[in-house]
Amino acid sequence: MLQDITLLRSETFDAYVAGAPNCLVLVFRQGCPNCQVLMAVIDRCRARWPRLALAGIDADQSPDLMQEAGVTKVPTVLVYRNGVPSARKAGVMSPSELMALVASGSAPVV
Amino acid sequence: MSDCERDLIIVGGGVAGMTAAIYAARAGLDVLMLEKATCGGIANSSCSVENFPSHQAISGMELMQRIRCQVQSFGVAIEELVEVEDIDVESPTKVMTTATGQYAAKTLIIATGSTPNRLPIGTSCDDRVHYCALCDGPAYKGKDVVVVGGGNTGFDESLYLVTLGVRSVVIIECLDACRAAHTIQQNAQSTGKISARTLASVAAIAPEGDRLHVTIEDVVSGSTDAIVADGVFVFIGQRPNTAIVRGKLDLSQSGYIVADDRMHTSEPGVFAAGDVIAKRYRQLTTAMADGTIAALEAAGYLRGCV
Repeated sequence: MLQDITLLRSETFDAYVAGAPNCLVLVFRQGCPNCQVLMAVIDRCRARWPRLALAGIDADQSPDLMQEAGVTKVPTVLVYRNGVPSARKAGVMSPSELMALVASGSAPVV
Repeated sequence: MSDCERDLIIVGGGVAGMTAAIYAARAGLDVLMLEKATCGGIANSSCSVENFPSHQAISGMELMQRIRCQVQSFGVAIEELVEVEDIDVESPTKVMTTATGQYAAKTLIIATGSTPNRLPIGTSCDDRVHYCALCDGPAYKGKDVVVVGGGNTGFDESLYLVTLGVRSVVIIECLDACRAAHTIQQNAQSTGKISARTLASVAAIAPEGDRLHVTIEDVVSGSTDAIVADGVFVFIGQRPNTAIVRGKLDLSQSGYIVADDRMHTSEPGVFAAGDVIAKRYRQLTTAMADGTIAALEAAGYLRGCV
């Protein structure tokens, strides 16, 4: 589920989000049921965001990065615009809630 | 309508809905199952299921995925991430409206399950109040947590937290005794890391440095004391997901669907199963029994035998 997303680590995070005008980062954990649901939601919505970069942070592999981002719960979605955090939300979202979050935090992405 | 008229639509892809799907498909019905998230429902969050015959212990998510595969093997159409916004239950053809279209069927099984209750107090420390040990437990390795709720789930999740390396767990239960199964309570006690306080409730959660000051109230005397912890996990039961049928089907005072012992609701051709119905025991096995009966009754209804 949720193929072809860039997995970020501390050493790659800053450059990645700075290099993408609009970026969605999912903080997740393997085996987390709510993360599975949100991954399916992102998969459902991604076709509508051809210019949105999609990335992930594995909370177990990069706990330092998770802490740096101030994330205490998974799943959490972080939206960046030109490298600057512009929206975030924790927990499961419906496709319409996720699209509204992305729209609120990014330049037009459709 | 975005779809043809089916024999049966099952709303909800938890274990009750999936069991109903298997039985209905085996009875030769044309079945569609609609799930607002992904199949498995609340059982997906169970770290370890130890009361499901045939598995000594299995993760809830793995068990649900296996059942989902079985459902698919019978040719049941499954649509996930589809939330039913409205239902017409009165007409002979039952119509479900979603954000993306309408679906119609001759019969309907409501198996929408339940949602975990939230902690009924406000706190500025919401970022450290959790409802899923599988999701958020690993961050508390070497730390102290409070678990609210002394039922099976509260104890199961506490045991899971200890296996993750959590230093201590204090379970807070408002009743005079914890309701978890005796063996689970014994397992918890044997860890030496899990303790329980009964006749107690969480009255407030406030920051204390980089930790939490959790105020515990004695529910009899009203006196308070505090536990300093790093996080709070909440497992205090569920509320039924019946918003879409409110005013359309008979509900109990607590908001559960009233169904008879054959899973018939107050509307002909509409059945209900699982955690969403008014009943005493809410277990995977009882949900499966409900789903079985609902599917067989739906098949009988379609044959004119009910």
